[in-house]
Amino acid sequence: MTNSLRNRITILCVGLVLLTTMVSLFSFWWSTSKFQEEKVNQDITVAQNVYKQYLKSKESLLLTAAKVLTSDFGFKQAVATRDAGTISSVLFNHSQRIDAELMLLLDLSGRLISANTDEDAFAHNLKPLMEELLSAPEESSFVVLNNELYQIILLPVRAPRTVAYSLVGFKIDDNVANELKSLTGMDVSFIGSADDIVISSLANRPEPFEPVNYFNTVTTSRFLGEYSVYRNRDINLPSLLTHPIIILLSADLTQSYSDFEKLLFTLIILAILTMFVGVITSSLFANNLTTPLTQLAVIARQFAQGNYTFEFKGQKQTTEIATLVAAFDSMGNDINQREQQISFQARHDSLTGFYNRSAMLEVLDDELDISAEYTLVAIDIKGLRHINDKLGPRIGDDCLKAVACRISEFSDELGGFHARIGGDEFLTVFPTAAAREQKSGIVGLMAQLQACYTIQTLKINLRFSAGIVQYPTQGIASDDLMRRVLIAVESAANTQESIHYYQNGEDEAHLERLIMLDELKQAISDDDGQLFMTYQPKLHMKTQKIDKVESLIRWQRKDGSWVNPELFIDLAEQSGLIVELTGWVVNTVVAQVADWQSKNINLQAAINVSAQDIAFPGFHAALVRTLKKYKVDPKLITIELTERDMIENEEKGIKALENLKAIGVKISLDDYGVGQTSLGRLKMLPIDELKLDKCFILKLDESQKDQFIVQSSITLGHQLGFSVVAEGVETIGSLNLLRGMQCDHAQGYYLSRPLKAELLEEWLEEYYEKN
Amino acid sequence: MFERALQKFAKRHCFLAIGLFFSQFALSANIELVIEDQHGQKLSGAVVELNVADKQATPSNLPTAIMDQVHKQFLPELLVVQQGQKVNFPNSDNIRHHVYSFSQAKPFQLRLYSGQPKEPITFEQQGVVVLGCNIHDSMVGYIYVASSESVYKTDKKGYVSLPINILPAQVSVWHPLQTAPLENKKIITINSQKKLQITVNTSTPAPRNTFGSKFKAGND
Repeated sequence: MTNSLRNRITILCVGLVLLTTMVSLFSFWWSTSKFQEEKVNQDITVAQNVYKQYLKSKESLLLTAAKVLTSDFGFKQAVATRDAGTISSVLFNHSQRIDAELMLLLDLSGRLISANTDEDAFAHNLKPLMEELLSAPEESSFVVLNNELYQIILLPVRAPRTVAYSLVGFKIDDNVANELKSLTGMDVSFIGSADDIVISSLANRPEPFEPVNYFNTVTTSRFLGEYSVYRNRDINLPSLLTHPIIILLSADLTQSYSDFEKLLFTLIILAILTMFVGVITSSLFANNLTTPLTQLAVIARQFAQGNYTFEFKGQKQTTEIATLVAAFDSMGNDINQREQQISFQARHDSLTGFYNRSAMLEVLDDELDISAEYTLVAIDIKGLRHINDKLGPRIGDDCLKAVACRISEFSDELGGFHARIGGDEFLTVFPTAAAREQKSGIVGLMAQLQACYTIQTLKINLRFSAGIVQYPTQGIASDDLMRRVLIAVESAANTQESIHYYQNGEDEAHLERLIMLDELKQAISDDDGQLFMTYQPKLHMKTQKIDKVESLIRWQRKDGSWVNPELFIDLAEQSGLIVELTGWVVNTVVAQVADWQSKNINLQAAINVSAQDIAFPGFHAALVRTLKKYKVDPKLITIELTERDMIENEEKGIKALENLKAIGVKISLDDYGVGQTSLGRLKMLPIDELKLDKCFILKLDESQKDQFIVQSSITLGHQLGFSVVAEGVETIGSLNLLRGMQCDHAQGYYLSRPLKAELLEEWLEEYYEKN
Repeated sequence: MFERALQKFAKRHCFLAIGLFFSQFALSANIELVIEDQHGQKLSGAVVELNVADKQATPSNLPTAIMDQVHKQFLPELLVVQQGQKVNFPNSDNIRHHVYSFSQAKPFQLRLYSGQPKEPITFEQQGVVVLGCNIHDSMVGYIYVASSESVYKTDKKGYVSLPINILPAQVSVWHPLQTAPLENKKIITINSQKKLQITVNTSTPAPRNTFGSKFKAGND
């Protein structure tokens, strides 16, 4: 909060206002103080001049009065003739006229001749005073006489030579001081320190009253502290050398203090007002600035949530904000557009424009109405991989496009929708009712799809498998539907049907197989004894010796239940796990053979492999590596392949078998006689051994026909250079027949069921003991 | 105008005549006196009177002396007359004067007049008479009324030559600016014929200001 733009702006503005105010306040303070100081000094100077002028005029008055007196012919005559009575009355009369309190007449030696008042008070010798006054003739002096302060002047009485001196004086008392104060407003004190006399205009005097001390020390308590009340200046008055008189001017500063404080308070109030206005305006300004920013932040959050439409509130934005808003607007539009593009790409297959698998799951959840019935059809293009391999992926893609086109034509008509759910798999969903109205239905769809395609001038026929699931009876959740329709199409593909209708329970079986597959995978990687090999001995007819075994895998789960080898091998083949499983088998068997070798038991072991194993590029190398690892002679290992495995991908298969043969292992053709192996093909196969299917051997001693087939097959095998093995020998009769037919090896329950390695070794010992 | 010039000429002659008269007496035995002030300044215009006990001049023989007033000044400033001699106070200015004296030797007043006063004033008592003018304060004049005929004034160099027959002789010395009271005369006894130096304390009179100067601005 404290870090917000608004606060910063406000703080900045207030800070500036505060700084400005403080500076102006300080400068005001400084200049006003200075001004006040100067003004007071000036006032005092003015007052000083006024007082000087006042005293000067008093002096002039004195002088005039004294001159008038001393120049009066009658007075002169009286003085010259020492007419005491006349002199005294003249002095009195004259003093009344000019309002002079003091008028004395002194003779040349300083003795008092006459006075206007009580003569006795001035009886003492006035000569020193007179002499000092005479040294500055015609100037007034301030003198204390008879404990009173007088401004006096001494003038000679000339007739025409000086015959006497006349001393005229005005009394200086508090009234005079008050009169002076009224002229300038300043307190006036006359101080004669030597005579201990004080005359002051100050009304309320403390006891004892010492003006210099008082005026210099008295303070007043103001708002900002203690200040001197008076600014003082003392002026020396003309006086006697040993009796100095000073006049002390004291300017009362109280008024100027209170004026200054008033100004100061006014200024402080103004400053506070300015600050207040500053805060308000700056917060308004900040608000003006931050409101759109806040709004933009809200809009940005809306953008984050995927809402790209906004309305910007507020008028009269600054150009910068307006630009920003416009930029937000265009950004929102651009992001929206791109998002739509990305989400379309995320939900759709780029080749066909159909929904992809994950999008289809959502679509199914959203679109399917529980109250209506829908048909889900998964369509798998058979052999698309061959087209890709042979004609190139571009043709393959074009085929996909063409198929997609036909699917969409069909489902669009019915108001359905469609998706590409795998490399060569499509899913179309349409309302069942609509399909029922169209008589053709699913069969029509298949016919439509299977019609000849013209791809870049090539005419191509495609075959399809279709799996069908009904909604809602066979599933409601989209992922259930998807899985079941895939199971159905897989079943169709596996069973060579073109259409497979999903049956309830298939999903669970599929699920069980998946679980089993998972367990098998775990069993292979753990190699904890769940999987193990059994070996069924093969009897060499001529030597009556057991020189070969067929290794057969067995799986006993941890819970002790047995799993049918056909089931889990089939599962492994379908899931591609067979490669791994065969790898485990090869490793186990080769190790076993090596073990036997070390025990001096010479047995050749046959390993069943599937077409996938042969096609797996690493198989050959892994086999060689294993043989080397256990130092087993390749001749001791026989690879058994069924007819069907042999046929699939013939050319590559033959090549791989030839490579295996090259390292020295034997190749055996398993289950001969029940498959589709033509004799022409048989002669091309790089095999060492024919293994007659047990269906011919099981009842050989009862069936004449089987005897013919077996006899001729053995003869054919021998003539083609193969050795022949008969499996499924269960009776002594069959064995004897086979011996008669010169069959090379016999295998079956008559001899032994498949046994674990240790049991086989025991069996072998028993066998050789019997024979 | 011509008449006035003639008058002045006559006055000069009169003084000359008196001077010649005294000098003839002094021929027998002359003693020289030098009068100085306390600073060694030779004092001219000092009056030296030879005190002779029994010598009395007859007033009828004495001419009327003249104390003229020219350019608001007494002329001469110091006039020496014999006891009983008459002095006339003609006013040569074209303004009026009010000549007075409060001196004990001869207080008198000649109220505002111009030209010749009605009659000359006779100075019966010996002593010093200070003359003033009531209108013009700056005018000061002195009339020395001598009791004997043997009265002399120092020249510009402060010298005076006394014809003295008998020793010891007593002389009184007086100067208008002496610091002693104006009536007092300094009594000197001369015992030898040697040149004698006499000191008289004097004071320089302050210039006589008018009222106006005190009212002028900047007078502090």
